[in-house]
Amino acid sequence: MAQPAHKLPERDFAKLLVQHQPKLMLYFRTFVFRKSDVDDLTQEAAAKAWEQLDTYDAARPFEPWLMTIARFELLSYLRDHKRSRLVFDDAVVDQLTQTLTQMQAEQALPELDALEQCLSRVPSDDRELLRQRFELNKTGSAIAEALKLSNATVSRRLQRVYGQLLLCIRRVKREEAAR
Amino acid sequence: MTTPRPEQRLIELVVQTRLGEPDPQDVAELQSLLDDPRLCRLYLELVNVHSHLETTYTEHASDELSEQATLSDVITTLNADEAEPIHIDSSTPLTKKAYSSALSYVIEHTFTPKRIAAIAAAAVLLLGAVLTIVLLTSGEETPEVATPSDFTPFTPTPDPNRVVATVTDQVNAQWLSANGQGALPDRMLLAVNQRLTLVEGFAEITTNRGAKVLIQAPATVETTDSDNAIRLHRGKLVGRCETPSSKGFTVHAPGMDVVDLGTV
Repeated sequence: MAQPAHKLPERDFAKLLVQHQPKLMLYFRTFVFRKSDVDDLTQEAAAKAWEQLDTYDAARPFEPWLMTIARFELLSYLRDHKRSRLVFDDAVVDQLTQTLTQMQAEQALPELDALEQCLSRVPSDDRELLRQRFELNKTGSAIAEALKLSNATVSRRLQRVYGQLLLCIRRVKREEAAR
Repeated sequence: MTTPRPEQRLIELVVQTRLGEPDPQDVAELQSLLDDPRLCRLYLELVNVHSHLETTYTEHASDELSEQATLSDVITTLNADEAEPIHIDSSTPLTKKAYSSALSYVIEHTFTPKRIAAIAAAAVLLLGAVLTIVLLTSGEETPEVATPSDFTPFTPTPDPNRVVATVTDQVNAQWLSANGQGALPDRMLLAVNQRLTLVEGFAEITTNRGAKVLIQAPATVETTDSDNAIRLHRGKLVGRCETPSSKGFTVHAPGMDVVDLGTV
Protein backbone atom coordinates (compact mmCIF):
# COMPACT_ATOMS: atom_id res chain seq x y z
CA MET A 1 0.00 0.00 0.00
CA ALA A 2 1.29 3.49 -0.87
CA GLN A 3 2.38 5.52 2.12
CA PRO A 4 0.60 8.86 2.61
CA ALA A 5 2.53 12.01 1.76
CA HIS A 6 1.81 13.57 5.16
CA LYS A 7 2.29 11.33 8.17
CA LEU A 8 0.66 12.15 11.48
CA PRO A 9 2.96 12.01 14.53
CA GLU A 10 1.68 9.51 17.10
CA ARG A 11 1.36 12.16 19.77
CA ASP A 12 -0.94 14.23 17.55
CA PHE A 13 -2.88 11.08 16.78
CA ALA A 14 -3.53 10.40 20.47
CA LYS A 15 -4.75 13.99 20.91
CA LEU A 16 -7.11 13.67 17.96
CA LEU A 17 -8.35 10.37 19.28
CA VAL A 18 -9.14 11.84 22.70
CA GLN A 19 -10.93 14.72 20.99
CA HIS A 20 -13.05 12.38 18.86
CA GLN A 21 -13.74 9.73 21.47
CA PRO A 22 -17.17 11.11 22.52
CA LYS A 23 -18.22 11.14 18.87
CA LEU A 24 -17.12 7.54 18.45
CA MET A 25 -19.07 6.49 21.52
CA LEU A 26 -22.10 8.40 20.37
CA TYR A 27 -21.94 6.73 16.99
CA PHE A 28 -21.81 3.24 18.47
CA ARG A 29 -24.45 4.14 21.06
CA THR A 30 -26.90 4.84 18.23
CA PHE A 31 -26.85 1.22 17.13
CA VAL A 32 -25.73 -0.78 20.16
CA PHE A 33 -27.72 -1.28 23.34
CA ARG A 34 -25.21 -2.70 25.80
CA LYS A 35 -22.85 -0.12 27.30
CA SER A 36 -20.07 -2.70 27.65
CA ASP A 37 -20.32 -3.44 23.92
CA VAL A 38 -20.16 0.29 23.14
CA ASP A 39 -17.00 0.60 25.26
CA ASP A 40 -15.44 -2.41 23.55
CA LEU A 41 -16.28 -1.09 20.09
CA THR A 42 -14.84 2.33 20.94
CA GLN A 43 -11.60 0.76 22.15
CA GLU A 44 -11.42 -1.58 19.16
CA ALA A 45 -11.91 1.31 16.74
CA ALA A 46 -9.23 3.35 18.53
CA ALA A 47 -6.82 0.42 18.45
CA LYS A 48 -7.52 -0.27 14.76
CA ALA A 49 -6.95 3.40 13.96
CA TRP A 50 -3.58 3.26 15.69
CA GLU A 51 -2.68 0.08 13.84
CA GLN A 52 -3.59 1.72 10.53
CA LEU A 53 -2.04 5.08 11.29
CA ASP A 54 0.49 4.58 8.51
CA THR A 55 -2.37 4.71 6.01
CA TYR A 56 -3.72 8.06 7.24
CA ASP A 57 -2.80 11.13 5.23
CA ALA A 58 -2.50 14.01 7.69
CA ALA A 59 -3.34 16.49 4.93
CA ARG A 60 -6.90 15.14 4.98
CA PRO A 61 -9.53 15.54 7.72
CA PHE A 62 -9.15 13.06 10.57
CA GLU A 63 -12.80 12.54 11.43
CA PRO A 64 -14.00 10.92 8.18
CA TRP A 65 -11.00 8.57 8.26
CA LEU A 66 -11.71 7.57 11.88
CA MET A 67 -15.43 7.20 11.29
CA THR A 68 -14.81 4.91 8.33
CA ILE A 69 -12.86 2.62 10.64
CA ALA A 70 -15.68 2.90 13.18
CA ARG A 71 -18.25 1.99 10.56
CA PHE A 72 -16.37 -1.19 9.64
CA GLU A 73 -16.15 -2.11 13.32
CA LEU A 74 -19.88 -1.54 13.70
CA LEU A 75 -20.76 -3.60 10.62
CA SER A 76 -18.64 -6.45 11.91
CA TYR A 77 -20.37 -6.24 15.31
CA LEU A 78 -23.82 -6.17 13.71
CA ARG A 79 -22.95 -9.17 11.55
CA ASP A 80 -21.70 -11.13 14.56
CA HIS A 81 -24.82 -10.33 16.61
CA LYS A 82 -27.45 -10.71 13.92
CA ARG A 83 -28.88 -13.89 15.40
CA SER A 84 -29.30 -12.40 18.86
CA ARG A 85 -32.26 -10.25 17.68
CA LEU A 86 -30.71 -7.45 19.73
CA VAL A 87 -29.49 -5.47 16.75
CA PHE A 88 -31.30 -3.46 14.09
CA ASP A 89 -31.69 -4.85 10.60
CA ASP A 90 -29.69 -3.42 7.69
CA ALA A 91 -32.46 -1.14 6.40
CA VAL A 92 -32.85 0.57 9.79
CA VAL A 93 -29.08 0.87 10.20
CA ASP A 94 -28.91 2.58 6.80
CA GLN A 95 -31.77 4.91 7.64
CA LEU A 96 -30.26 5.82 11.00
CA THR A 97 -26.85 6.38 9.42
CA GLN A 98 -28.28 8.71 6.78
CA THR A 99 -30.37 10.62 9.31
CA LEU A 100 -27.42 10.89 11.69
CA THR A 101 -25.21 12.33 8.93
CA GLN A 102 -27.93 14.79 7.98
CA MET A 103 -28.54 15.91 11.57
CA GLN A 104 -24.82 16.33 12.18
CA ALA A 105 -24.59 18.54 9.09
CA GLU A 106 -27.56 20.58 10.32
CA GLN A 107 -26.04 20.70 13.83
CA ALA A 108 -29.41 19.46 15.00
CA LEU A 109 -28.19 16.99 17.61
CA PRO A 110 -28.16 17.82 21.32
CA GLU A 111 -24.82 19.13 22.53
CA LEU A 112 -23.05 18.31 25.75
CA ASP A 113 -22.85 21.96 26.89
CA ALA A 114 -26.60 22.34 26.58
CA LEU A 115 -27.19 19.14 28.50
CA GLU A 116 -24.96 20.35 31.32
CA GLN A 117 -26.95 23.59 31.54
CA CYS A 118 -30.20 21.65 31.63
CA LEU A 119 -29.00 19.14 34.20
CA SER A 120 -28.68 21.93 36.74
CA ARG A 121 -32.44 22.47 36.41
CA VAL A 122 -33.35 18.83 37.09
CA PRO A 123 -34.98 18.36 40.54
CA SER A 124 -32.72 16.72 43.12
CA ASP A 125 -34.79 13.50 43.29
CA ASP A 126 -34.38 13.00 39.58
CA ARG A 127 -30.69 13.89 39.73
CA GLU A 128 -30.29 11.10 42.28
CA LEU A 129 -32.04 8.77 39.86
CA LEU A 130 -29.58 9.77 37.11
CA ARG A 131 -26.65 9.36 39.48
CA GLN A 132 -27.78 5.85 40.36
CA ARG A 133 -28.22 5.00 36.70
CA PHE A 134 -25.11 6.53 35.17
CA GLU A 135 -22.55 7.24 37.87
CA LEU A 136 -23.15 4.02 39.81
CA ASN A 137 -24.04 2.17 36.60
CA LYS A 138 -27.04 0.40 38.14
CA THR A 139 -29.74 -1.47 36.29
CA GLY A 140 -33.41 -0.53 36.62
CA SER A 141 -34.12 -3.17 39.25
CA ALA A 142 -31.02 -2.22 41.28
CA ILE A 143 -32.10 1.43 41.25
CA ALA A 144 -35.61 0.43 42.29
CA GLU A 145 -34.21 -1.50 45.23
CA ALA A 146 -31.84 1.30 46.27
CA LEU A 147 -34.49 4.03 46.09
CA LYS A 148 -37.34 1.80 47.31
CA LEU A 149 -39.39 2.31 44.17
CA SER A 150 -41.05 -0.09 41.78
CA ASN A 151 -39.31 -0.96 38.51
CA ALA A 152 -42.14 0.70 36.59
CA THR A 153 -41.74 3.93 38.58
CA VAL A 154 -38.00 4.04 37.89
CA SER A 155 -38.61 3.55 34.19
CA ARG A 156 -41.41 6.18 34.07
CA ARG A 157 -39.35 8.75 35.95
CA LEU A 158 -36.36 8.21 33.69
CA GLN A 159 -38.58 8.62 30.64
CA ARG A 160 -39.90 11.89 32.03
CA VAL A 161 -36.36 13.15 32.74
CA TYR A 162 -35.21 12.26 29.21
CA GLY A 163 -38.20 14.06 27.72
CA GLN A 164 -37.68 17.13 29.91
CA LEU A 165 -33.96 17.24 29.18
CA LEU A 166 -34.57 17.03 25.46
CA LEU A 167 -37.09 19.87 25.56
CA CYS A 168 -34.72 21.98 27.66
CA ILE A 169 -31.80 21.29 25.29
CA ARG A 170 -33.90 22.33 22.29
CA ARG A 171 -34.87 25.52 24.11
CA VAL A 172 -31.23 26.33 24.98
CA LYS A 173 -30.30 25.76 21.37
CA ARG A 174 -33.05 28.08 20.13
CA GLU A 175 -32.03 30.77 22.62
CA GLU A 176 -28.39 30.52 21.52
CA ALA A 177 -29.39 30.71 17.87
CA ALA A 178 -31.48 33.83 18.57
CA ARG A 179 -28.53 35.69 20.16
CA MET B 1 -55.85 0.89 28.65
CA THR B 2 -54.87 3.63 26.21
CA THR B 3 -52.17 3.15 23.60
CA PRO B 4 -49.32 5.61 24.12
CA ARG B 5 -48.49 8.03 21.35
CA PRO B 6 -45.59 6.86 19.16
CA GLU B 7 -43.30 9.60 20.57
CA GLN B 8 -44.08 8.50 24.11
CA ARG B 9 -43.56 4.86 23.24
CA LEU B 10 -40.25 5.71 21.58
CA ILE B 11 -38.98 7.38 24.76
CA GLU B 12 -40.12 4.37 26.78
CA LEU B 13 -38.24 2.01 24.48
CA VAL B 14 -35.04 4.09 24.41
CA VAL B 15 -34.97 4.08 28.21
CA GLN B 16 -36.06 0.46 28.53
CA THR B 17 -33.56 -0.99 26.05
CA ARG B 18 -30.69 0.73 27.83
CA LEU B 19 -31.74 0.11 31.41
CA GLY B 20 -30.55 -3.48 31.65
CA GLU B 21 -30.47 -6.46 29.34
CA PRO B 22 -32.57 -5.41 26.31
CA ASP B 23 -35.62 -7.45 25.36
CA PRO B 24 -35.69 -8.62 21.70
CA GLN B 25 -39.39 -7.67 21.51
CA ASP B 26 -38.58 -4.12 22.56
CA VAL B 27 -35.82 -3.97 19.96
CA ALA B 28 -38.22 -5.20 17.26
CA GLU B 29 -40.84 -2.62 18.26
CA LEU B 30 -38.25 0.13 18.33
CA GLN B 31 -37.16 -0.91 14.87
CA SER B 32 -40.69 -0.68 13.52
CA LEU B 33 -41.10 2.84 14.96
CA LEU B 34 -37.89 3.96 13.25
CA ASP B 35 -39.49 3.51 9.85
CA ASP B 36 -41.01 6.93 10.48
CA PRO B 37 -38.33 9.56 9.58
CA ARG B 38 -39.70 11.94 12.23
CA LEU B 39 -39.32 9.30 14.93
CA CYS B 40 -35.92 8.40 13.56
CA ARG B 41 -34.79 11.98 14.25
CA LEU B 42 -36.32 11.91 17.73
CA TYR B 43 -34.58 8.62 18.43
CA LEU B 44 -31.20 10.12 17.51
CA GLU B 45 -31.85 13.12 19.77
CA LEU B 46 -32.75 10.82 22.67
CA VAL B 47 -29.73 8.59 22.14
CA ASN B 48 -27.58 11.72 22.15
CA VAL B 49 -29.09 12.76 25.47
CA HIS B 50 -28.45 9.27 26.83
CA SER B 51 -24.88 9.20 25.57
CA HIS B 52 -24.13 12.67 26.96
CA LEU B 53 -25.54 11.57 30.33
CA GLU B 54 -23.21 8.59 30.29
CA THR B 55 -20.25 10.84 29.44
CA THR B 56 -21.12 13.46 32.06
CA TYR B 57 -21.70 11.03 34.90
CA THR B 58 -18.78 8.77 33.99
CA GLU B 59 -16.45 11.76 34.12
CA HIS B 60 -17.95 12.70 37.46
CA ALA B 61 -17.48 9.19 38.81
CA SER B 62 -13.89 9.20 37.61
CA ASP B 63 -13.26 12.53 39.39
CA GLU B 64 -14.41 10.99 42.65
CA LEU B 65 -12.59 7.72 42.23
CA SER B 66 -9.67 8.51 44.46
CA GLU B 67 -11.94 9.84 47.21
CA GLN B 68 -14.32 6.91 47.28
CA ALA B 69 -12.23 3.84 46.55
CA THR B 70 -10.11 2.47 49.35
CA LEU B 71 -6.84 0.78 48.49
CA SER B 72 -8.35 -2.53 49.54
CA ASP B 73 -11.30 -2.03 47.13
CA VAL B 74 -8.95 -1.35 44.27
CA ILE B 75 -6.75 -4.37 45.03
CA THR B 76 -9.79 -6.63 45.32
CA THR B 77 -11.13 -5.41 41.98
CA LEU B 78 -7.83 -5.81 40.22
CA ASN B 79 -7.07 -9.22 41.67
CA ALA B 80 -10.45 -10.48 40.54
CA ASP B 81 -9.29 -10.19 36.94
CA GLU B 82 -6.07 -12.12 37.31
CA ALA B 83 -5.40 -15.69 36.31
CA GLU B 84 -2.44 -17.97 35.74
CA PRO B 85 -0.89 -17.27 32.36
CA ILE B 86 -0.50 -19.86 29.67
CA HIS B 87 2.18 -19.70 27.01
CA ILE B 88 1.58 -19.39 23.30
CA ASP B 89 4.28 -20.69 21.03
CA SER B 90 4.39 -21.04 17.29
CA SER B 91 6.82 -22.23 14.69
CA THR B 92 4.81 -21.04 11.71
CA PRO B 93 7.08 -20.38 8.72
CA LEU B 94 7.55 -16.74 7.91
CA THR B 95 5.95 -15.40 4.77
CA LYS B 96 6.45 -12.16 2.92
CA LYS B 97 2.82 -11.27 3.52
CA ALA B 98 3.23 -11.77 7.24
CA TYR B 99 6.29 -9.51 7.21
CA SER B 100 4.34 -6.64 5.76
CA SER B 101 0.95 -7.13 7.32
CA ALA B 102 1.34 -7.61 11.05
CA LEU B 103 2.99 -4.89 13.06
CA SER B 104 0.76 -4.71 16.04
CA TYR B 105 -1.67 -6.55 18.17
CA VAL B 106 -4.41 -5.84 20.61
CA ILE B 107 -5.04 -7.51 23.89
CA GLU B 108 -7.92 -7.01 26.24
CA HIS B 109 -8.61 -8.40 29.62
CA THR B 110 -11.86 -10.15 28.82
CA PHE B 111 -10.70 -13.24 26.99
CA THR B 112 -13.49 -15.15 25.32
CA PRO B 113 -12.48 -18.33 23.47
CA LYS B 114 -12.97 -16.44 20.20
CA ARG B 115 -10.78 -13.64 21.43
CA ILE B 116 -8.07 -16.06 22.50
CA ALA B 117 -8.11 -17.61 19.03
CA ALA B 118 -7.84 -14.16 17.44
CA ILE B 119 -4.94 -13.20 19.67
CA ALA B 120 -3.21 -16.51 19.03
CA ALA B 121 -3.56 -15.84 15.31
CA ALA B 122 -2.17 -12.34 15.81
CA ALA B 123 0.75 -13.79 17.75
CA VAL B 124 1.48 -16.14 14.86
CA LEU B 125 1.39 -13.25 12.43
CA LEU B 126 3.71 -11.31 14.66
CA LEU B 127 6.41 -13.83 13.98
CA GLY B 128 6.82 -11.98 10.73
CA ALA B 129 6.69 -8.45 12.00
CA VAL B 130 9.00 -6.08 10.22
CA LEU B 131 11.32 -4.59 12.74
CA THR B 132 12.49 -1.04 12.31
CA ILE B 133 15.46 0.46 14.03
CA VAL B 134 14.43 3.58 15.86
CA LEU B 135 16.96 5.89 17.43
CA LEU B 136 15.39 7.10 20.62
CA THR B 137 16.47 10.54 21.67
CA SER B 138 16.87 11.12 25.36
CA GLY B 139 15.62 14.22 27.07
CA GLU B 140 17.89 16.84 28.57
CA GLU B 141 16.37 16.73 32.01
CA THR B 142 16.94 13.92 34.50
CA PRO B 143 13.70 12.00 34.70
CA GLU B 144 12.18 11.01 38.01
CA VAL B 145 12.06 7.40 39.12
CA ALA B 146 8.64 6.05 40.00
CA THR B 147 8.43 5.01 43.62
CA PRO B 148 5.70 3.44 45.72
CA SER B 149 4.89 6.81 47.23
CA ASP B 150 3.97 8.07 43.77
CA PHE B 151 1.74 5.11 42.94
CA THR B 152 -0.58 2.76 44.66
CA PRO B 153 1.84 0.31 46.27
CA PHE B 154 0.44 -2.93 44.92
CA THR B 155 3.84 -4.60 44.75
CA PRO B 156 6.91 -4.89 46.99
CA THR B 157 9.16 -1.85 46.92
CA PRO B 158 10.66 -1.58 43.42
CA ASP B 159 14.39 -1.11 43.13
CA PRO B 160 14.93 2.34 41.52
CA ASN B 161 18.23 1.12 40.07
CA ARG B 162 16.49 -1.52 38.02
CA VAL B 163 14.62 0.69 35.62
CA VAL B 164 13.01 -1.32 32.83
CA ALA B 165 10.72 1.12 31.03
CA THR B 166 9.73 4.75 30.59
CA VAL B 167 6.40 6.50 30.26
CA THR B 168 7.31 8.15 26.97
CA ASP B 169 4.13 9.98 26.15
CA GLN B 170 0.85 10.94 27.77
CA VAL B 171 -2.30 12.56 26.48
CA ASN B 172 -4.85 13.69 29.06
CA ALA B 173 -3.46 10.94 31.26
CA GLN B 174 -4.61 10.66 34.86
CA TRP B 175 -3.09 7.94 37.02
CA LEU B 176 -4.27 6.41 40.25
CA SER B 177 -1.66 6.64 42.95
CA ALA B 178 -1.36 6.47 46.71
CA ASN B 179 -1.85 10.23 46.70
CA GLY B 180 -5.05 10.17 44.68
CA GLN B 181 -5.46 10.85 41.02
CA GLY B 182 -3.14 12.94 38.92
CA ALA B 183 -0.68 13.34 36.10
CA LEU B 184 2.81 11.85 35.99
CA PRO B 185 5.92 13.83 35.09
CA ASP B 186 7.08 13.52 31.49
CA ARG B 187 9.45 10.64 30.78
CA MET B 188 8.83 8.97 34.11
CA LEU B 189 11.15 6.00 34.57
CA LEU B 190 9.58 2.76 35.73
CA ALA B 191 11.43 0.29 37.91
CA VAL B 192 10.73 -3.45 38.04
CA ASN B 193 7.33 -4.59 39.27
CA GLN B 194 5.85 -1.11 39.13
CA ARG B 195 2.10 -1.28 38.87
CA LEU B 196 0.20 1.60 37.30
CA THR B 197 -3.47 2.34 36.88
CA LEU B 198 -4.43 4.73 34.11
CA VAL B 199 -7.79 6.24 34.97
CA GLU B 200 -8.16 8.60 32.03
CA GLY B 201 -6.52 9.31 28.69
CA PHE B 202 -3.75 7.55 26.82
CA ALA B 203 -0.14 6.80 27.59
CA GLU B 204 2.78 5.28 25.80
CA ILE B 205 5.27 3.12 27.67
CA THR B 206 8.57 2.17 26.05
CA THR B 207 10.63 -0.68 27.45
CA ASN B 208 14.39 -0.27 27.71
CA ARG B 209 14.73 -2.60 24.72
CA GLY B 210 12.51 -0.37 22.58
CA ALA B 211 9.13 -2.08 22.47
CA LYS B 212 6.32 0.43 22.69
CA VAL B 213 2.84 -0.05 24.09
CA LEU B 214 0.01 2.41 23.88
CA ILE B 215 -2.48 1.96 26.69
CA GLN B 216 -5.92 3.42 26.90
CA ALA B 217 -7.80 4.13 30.13
CA PRO B 218 -9.15 2.40 32.04
CA ALA B 219 -6.20 0.06 32.30
CA THR B 220 -3.77 -1.38 34.80
CA VAL B 221 -0.32 -2.46 33.69
CA GLU B 222 2.77 -3.57 35.53
CA THR B 223 6.41 -3.77 34.62
CA THR B 224 8.07 -7.11 35.26
CA ASP B 225 11.62 -8.02 36.16
CA SER B 226 12.42 -8.05 32.45
CA ASP B 227 13.16 -4.98 30.36
CA ASN B 228 11.33 -6.57 27.45
CA ALA B 229 7.95 -7.45 28.88
CA ILE B 230 4.90 -5.87 30.38
CA ARG B 231 1.99 -7.29 32.31
CA LEU B 232 -1.56 -6.20 31.48
CA HIS B 233 -3.97 -6.66 34.37
CA ARG B 234 -6.97 -4.79 33.05
CA GLY B 235 -7.85 -2.83 29.96
CA LYS B 236 -6.39 -2.81 26.52
CA LEU B 237 -3.11 -2.06 24.87
CA VAL B 238 -1.57 -1.97 21.46
CA GLY B 239 2.06 -2.95 21.17
CA ARG B 240 4.75 -2.36 18.61
CA CYS B 241 8.11 -4.00 18.49
CA GLU B 242 10.26 -1.22 17.08
CA THR B 243 13.86 -2.24 17.62
CA PRO B 244 15.79 -5.43 16.91
CA SER B 245 16.64 -5.75 20.59
CA SER B 246 12.97 -5.88 21.46
CA LYS B 247 12.57 -9.17 19.62
CA GLY B 248 10.80 -11.49 22.04
CA PHE B 249 8.84 -8.68 23.68
CA THR B 250 6.15 -10.34 25.78
CA VAL B 251 2.82 -9.14 27.03
CA HIS B 252 1.64 -11.16 30.01
CA ALA B 253 -2.12 -10.99 30.30
CA PRO B 254 -4.72 -12.86 32.34
CA GLY B 255 -4.94 -16.33 30.88
CA MET B 256 -2.08 -16.03 28.40
CA ASP B 257 1.23 -14.57 27.33
CA VAL B 258 1.78 -13.17 23.86
CA VAL B 259 5.35 -13.18 22.61
CA ASP B 260 6.51 -11.12 19.67
CA LEU B 261 9.48 -13.00 18.27
CA GLY B 262 10.10 -10.38 15.60
CA THR B 263 12.08 -11.09 12.46
CA VAL B 264 14.04 -14.28 12.82
